[in-house]
Amino acid sequence: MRVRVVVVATLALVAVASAAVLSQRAPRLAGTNAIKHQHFVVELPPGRRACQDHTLLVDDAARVELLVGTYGRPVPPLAVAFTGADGAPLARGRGGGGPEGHVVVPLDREIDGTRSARLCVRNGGATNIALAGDLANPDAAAHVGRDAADGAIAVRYLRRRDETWWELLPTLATRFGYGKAAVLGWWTLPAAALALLAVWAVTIRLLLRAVR
Amino acid sequence: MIGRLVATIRRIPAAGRTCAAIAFVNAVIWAIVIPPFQVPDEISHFGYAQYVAEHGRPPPQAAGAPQYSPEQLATMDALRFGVVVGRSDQRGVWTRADDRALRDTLAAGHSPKGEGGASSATNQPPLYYALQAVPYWLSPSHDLLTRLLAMRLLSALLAAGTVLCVYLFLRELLPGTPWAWTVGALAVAFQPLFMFISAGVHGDTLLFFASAATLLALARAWRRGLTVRRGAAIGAATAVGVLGKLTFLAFLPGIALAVGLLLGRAWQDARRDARAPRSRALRAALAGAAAATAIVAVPVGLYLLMNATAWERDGGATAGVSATVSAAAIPLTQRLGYIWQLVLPPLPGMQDQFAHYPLWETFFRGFIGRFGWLDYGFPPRVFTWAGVLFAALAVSALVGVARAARGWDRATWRRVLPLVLVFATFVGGLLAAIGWQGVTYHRDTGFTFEQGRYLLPLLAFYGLLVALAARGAGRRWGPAVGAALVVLAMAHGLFAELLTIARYYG
Repeated sequence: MRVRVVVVATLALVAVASAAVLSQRAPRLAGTNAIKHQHFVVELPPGRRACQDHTLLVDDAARVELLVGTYGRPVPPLAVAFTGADGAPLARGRGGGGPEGHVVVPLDREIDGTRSARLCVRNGGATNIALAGDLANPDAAAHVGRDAADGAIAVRYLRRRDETWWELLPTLATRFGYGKAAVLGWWTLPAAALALLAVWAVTIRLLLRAVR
Repeated sequence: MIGRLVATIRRIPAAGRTCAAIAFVNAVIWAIVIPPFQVPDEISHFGYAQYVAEHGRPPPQAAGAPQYSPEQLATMDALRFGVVVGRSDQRGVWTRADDRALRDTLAAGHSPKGEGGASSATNQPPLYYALQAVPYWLSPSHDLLTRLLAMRLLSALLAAGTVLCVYLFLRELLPGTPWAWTVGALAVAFQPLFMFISAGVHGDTLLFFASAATLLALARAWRRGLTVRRGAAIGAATAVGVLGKLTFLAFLPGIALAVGLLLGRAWQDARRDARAPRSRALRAALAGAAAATAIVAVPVGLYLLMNATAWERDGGATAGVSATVSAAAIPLTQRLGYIWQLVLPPLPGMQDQFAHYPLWETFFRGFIGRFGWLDYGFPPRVFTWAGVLFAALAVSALVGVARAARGWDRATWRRVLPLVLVFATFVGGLLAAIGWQGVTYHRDTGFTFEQGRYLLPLLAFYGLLVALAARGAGRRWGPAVGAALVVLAMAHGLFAELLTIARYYG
């Protein structure tokens, strides 16, 4: 009886904690352009634009997160624009203000379908800023005017609004099926969750029978 | 043969078999959750196993030769391994387009035959990798990712074997408290770092199994006396460990001490009472020790011979061992100081080796929750709560042992204390091995060598700690505390899985 009460009480605590964690609303990632934040690779003077071809732009991206250094000053106004290979505008946004670090710029539309794009970031302030990314050869690096920067700008894309993990579940299930053995697919995450539930059920049954 | 195996399995209590099955399914879930090659060093272990499967021999480790096959390199590239590894802000294959590109790469017919260049795993003996050749070839598809998944299932099976050994080990040590066997084994079955490593193609999984099996074999001989069969079991577990991973060499002093003490006990018993049964017990113990030695010496000798002759591995017969134990001109006092400071504060006159406290920062925090290529883990407050809980576990375990010890007679003390010494030698041996390598690595690279997972060969002692802590709560509350600890272990595993899903897919 004592074991049963303790198991039920502890399970209830775990259920509450799990529900609380899964219900946390926060910005969720849509993807990245596969460039790491390793160094500050672009020095961008006031009024100038840094542009970078072949930037991976991912499905569901609605906000752009850049790592911006300002030498201790507030982040100046920034303008971000993505254009397609044919020069057609794909999305644009304005942001800035606040302390240096990770700066989120909302885009004017949500991206539908992953593609390669040209990214441009304009420094609308009166002082230099630095953009973080990874070292790259001049072909892959960002350019300020005709000058190649030291590397490529790293971009993290966020989804349209802050979400709970519950809301993200269908997306998680889809992502979960990618990049694995061909026998696995979108069904793998729900199947894994069911298997885990079964493991828990067997364990609880074992505890109630063998631990007394 | 199969009939005997089935009969042996049937003799194991149903609870033990269930604990093993739980561990297996749990490890399979982890194997599906963790993306390919995101278990630390899995790239090296898979590369070694693929070389063995394709060439029928261990990698020659020729200087300048590439570490991985063209197929593995192309797959790692398509998985964006280089971008994702060690970077918790990066993600791998996330979109249909990425996945299609990956499938094209897998279908492109890149050669699975590598050249066997040196990697972080190739200095290891080949037993684990030879075993992995079986699922590699049995895999229903010959694309790399399906093979990797099939190979991960073998690791999950070894995790189940480890948990079963822990259960049986606890049965030998705590024969009067059957519920505690289940509690200790289940705590291990849900331990997330153990599950994380066991979900991958990783030589450590055989090391964990061999370590737990060795401790079980020794505990069995300790409780029931050394015989030929029990000596053979000690020898077999030791041989698997030595041929599985060089780290296992750290346990040889503990094993030798245990066998020596068992012989000494048999000899003393025979001297006290020279009647036939006692003498027979001494003869059986001697035969058991001889069997253990022979079962270790023959395959290990054969391996050394093959290494030096047929396989022509760089480094000759003892390839790997020499690199591991190389003195590398570091003073012995510094090495000893380093090993000491892995777990204890420096003594006066000892050179400070760490800017942090490794027992807490590296081993404890690593054990509780640092995952991937050490690129993500629980928030700091979790480690504080875990520290409080583990301190309470240690106190409860000590109280329980002290309470039980009040009723021990002299004979019981004479059986328990040497066993504690054997266990301490196991722990000390492993720490010495970690420290010996760590100080060289730190000097050569400037990086820290130690990781929480390096203590996982001592998982049986983790199971013992949890079992003793529950038992320490007394006869009335012990089972309830044990059940609560198991549910907490399950929650620990669950939150680690959620963290992992958030890291790679969220």
